[in-house]
Amino acid sequence: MDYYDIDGILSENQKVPCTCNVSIPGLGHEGREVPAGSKVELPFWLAEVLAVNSFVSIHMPAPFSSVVRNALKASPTSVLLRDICTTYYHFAENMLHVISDQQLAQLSLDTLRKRSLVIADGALNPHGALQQNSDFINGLDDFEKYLLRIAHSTHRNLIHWQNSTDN
Amino acid sequence: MALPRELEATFSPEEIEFLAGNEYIDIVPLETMDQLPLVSATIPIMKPPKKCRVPLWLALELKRQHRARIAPPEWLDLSNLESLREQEMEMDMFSKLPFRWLETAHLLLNACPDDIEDVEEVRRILLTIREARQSKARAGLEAVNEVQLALDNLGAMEINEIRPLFRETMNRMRKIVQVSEEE
Repeated sequence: MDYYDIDGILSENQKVPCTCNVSIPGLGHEGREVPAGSKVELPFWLAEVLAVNSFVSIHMPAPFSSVVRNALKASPTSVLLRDICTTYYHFAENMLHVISDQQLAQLSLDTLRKRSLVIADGALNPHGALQQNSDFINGLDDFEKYLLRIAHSTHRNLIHWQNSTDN
Repeated sequence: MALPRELEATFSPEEIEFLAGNEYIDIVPLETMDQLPLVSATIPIMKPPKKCRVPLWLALELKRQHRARIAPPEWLDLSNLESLREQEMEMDMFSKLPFRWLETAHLLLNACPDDIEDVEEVRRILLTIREARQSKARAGLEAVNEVQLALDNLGAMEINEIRPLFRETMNRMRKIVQVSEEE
């Protein structure tokens, strides 16, 4: 069921740095062979398949570097997640499939929790939030934008219904 | 079924209001009416001025046809609402309101304002209570984890309002936890 998920497909497009354990034909520019030991940036869907058979080793990608982690630990709500990775949470889930990193999992959960609070506030009044907090709103990744949209539309439907005086 | 994305996440307020129509309420018939054999229950013969207990949807319909007056439920009276408001302001937890309080109050205030004492004051107090609960619900989001979130005494419409945000956030958290525990 997740195979056809558009957001999942988009998140798998994220590039990850890898080191080739063996030389891989066809991977290089114009189909040339890539020698063993060279570093390449591959999209995740390709890197995962190659890593399963140990043809490449995946390294921690930039969105999960210690610089980013420290920034998220210090102040999750002021980081522009979109600039780091447009599908941050989905990508974290993908990476946790291949790399075991409890700290990353916990950090993603805490980040999501703190940011969803601000999103919930913004959903009550998106225009005001956009003016006050435009950096944050523009820096939401795809999942957070979806959260904002559904929270706001539920709220708007409720207000609409409350003000209706049919009967 | 292909629903618009917003309806995939939660019920519409109109649907919740519709469900609230099944709750029972007292009416005072203004004319004699025969027994009504309905699917779910048989409504007994209605003779003024004897009070009769009918489903809310029927009460609203009879009121619209000027065949009955509605007796507001016990919780919808001024003194009770005032003490509920005090409770709501003082406690961190949600005060005990009937499960369908918001939509029932909305229906009754629209259909029979003349049957409710101090209608304007009631309206105002309900609004205050609703805002207090809304801010508590939003604060409760801080405690969300991937397993559960306990917000006791929340009304049906209020649950419906926060369902999308809570559900999607919890889902995403659950997936991350699930994946990290797989290894």
